[in-house]
Amino acid sequence: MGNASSMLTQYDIEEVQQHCNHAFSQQEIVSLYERFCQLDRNNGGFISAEEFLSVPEFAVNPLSQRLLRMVDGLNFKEFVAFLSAFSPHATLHQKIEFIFKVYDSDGNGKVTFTDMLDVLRDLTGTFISEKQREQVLTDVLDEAGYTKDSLMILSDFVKILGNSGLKIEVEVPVD
Amino acid sequence: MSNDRIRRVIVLTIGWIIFLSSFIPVHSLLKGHDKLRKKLERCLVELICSFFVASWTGVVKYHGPRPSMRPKQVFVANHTSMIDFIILEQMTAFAVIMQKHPGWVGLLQSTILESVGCIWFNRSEAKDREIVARKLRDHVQGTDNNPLLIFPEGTCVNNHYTVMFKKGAFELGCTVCPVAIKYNKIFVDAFWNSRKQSFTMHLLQLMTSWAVVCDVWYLEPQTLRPGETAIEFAERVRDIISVRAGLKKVPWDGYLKYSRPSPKHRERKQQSFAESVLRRLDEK
Repeated sequence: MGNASSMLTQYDIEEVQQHCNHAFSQQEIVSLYERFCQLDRNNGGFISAEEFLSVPEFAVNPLSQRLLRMVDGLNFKEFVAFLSAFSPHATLHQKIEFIFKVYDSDGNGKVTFTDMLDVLRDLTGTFISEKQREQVLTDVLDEAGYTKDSLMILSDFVKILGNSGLKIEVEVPVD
Repeated sequence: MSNDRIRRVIVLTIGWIIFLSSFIPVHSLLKGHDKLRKKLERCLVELICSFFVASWTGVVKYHGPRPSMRPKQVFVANHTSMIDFIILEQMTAFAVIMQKHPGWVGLLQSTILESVGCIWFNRSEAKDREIVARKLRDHVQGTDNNPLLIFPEGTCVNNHYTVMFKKGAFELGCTVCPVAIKYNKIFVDAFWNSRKQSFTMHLLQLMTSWAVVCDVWYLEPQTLRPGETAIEFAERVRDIISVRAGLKKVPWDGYLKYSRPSPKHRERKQQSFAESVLRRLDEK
């Protein structure tokens, strides 16, 4: 793709579109590229953690450290693929897969009780005790038919969240 | 294209010559006759703004009744660039509240804009807000002052969105007259990204573009409804302006352009999530 500050060619756009399974239209990819270049202040070809944190909504997100780990050092093509879960064209399965990856911080395809507890800790901070957190998680797993020792895989998440009417969508502004 | 540029520079130069040769005498000679002096200075400021607008080949369409000089009213508008002020100023000599800028702009601010009655603030000063609030209140109470123009977003925004309005303008106990401004992007992108370029570069860029085309709508004056808080009032007015100008409303604070959000924003999110979780836990 070359230097981040150069113009995107038609070939580049098609390559990116292919890589994200056509989650975004060509015009949306152009808009995303503009935004990518805006964030990539030092023109390194990727957005660093610092540069991500300059987006206020991102900085105040309690899950920002987790997301940063997933998104640090991505080049534009990978960045668009990462965002494809947020496209209105993405399937529910893709969105659930994204959520699974947020929980599965070591990337081994399995989410344990501790992993979920870590995410809950990020989400609730100091406003709830560790004991209450464990209680909540145990109850939730119990309701869904799992136990504290269950190792959840992607299909478990799909089973639980499949009918939840989950909506994570972002509209990419097109000029 | 270069003939065009020369013409614009000439227009602007002539404008400045006329302005300065009239303003300086008026300002110094009529020191004792304040009312007349103010009236003349007002006309001159409107004049130089018209010259500015002409130098970018500004095509401005004004809709709605022209603002009148009445006490106890403020004007609020969405903010895209410093030129918003110039475009509105050429129609009516508003007093405005602005951030003091460095360089030649600051010089202009301290000399010419003083005459229309401007209020200064400093974003980085924490105590500044109370001082500014007091100055605003004083200005609005005065019968002889020019109508006050406030940009409640607190910063320049890209003319696609509006960010959250600061409530300062809405708790002064007076009528708020909304003004909506929308630039036509086909001719030039009027958004002044102050992080990317200085005002001088921005002005030069405008002068070398085809034209600055925009619509200005003076909208129906609004007052605080019974039982409405200042923040709700601000949001209601923001809604009126956004709808008129076709801008999307976003829930962000304009000042985040300048500084990182404080940890308490994140904590607030954590707190509300924790509270809803605890509520569910209690229900069991």
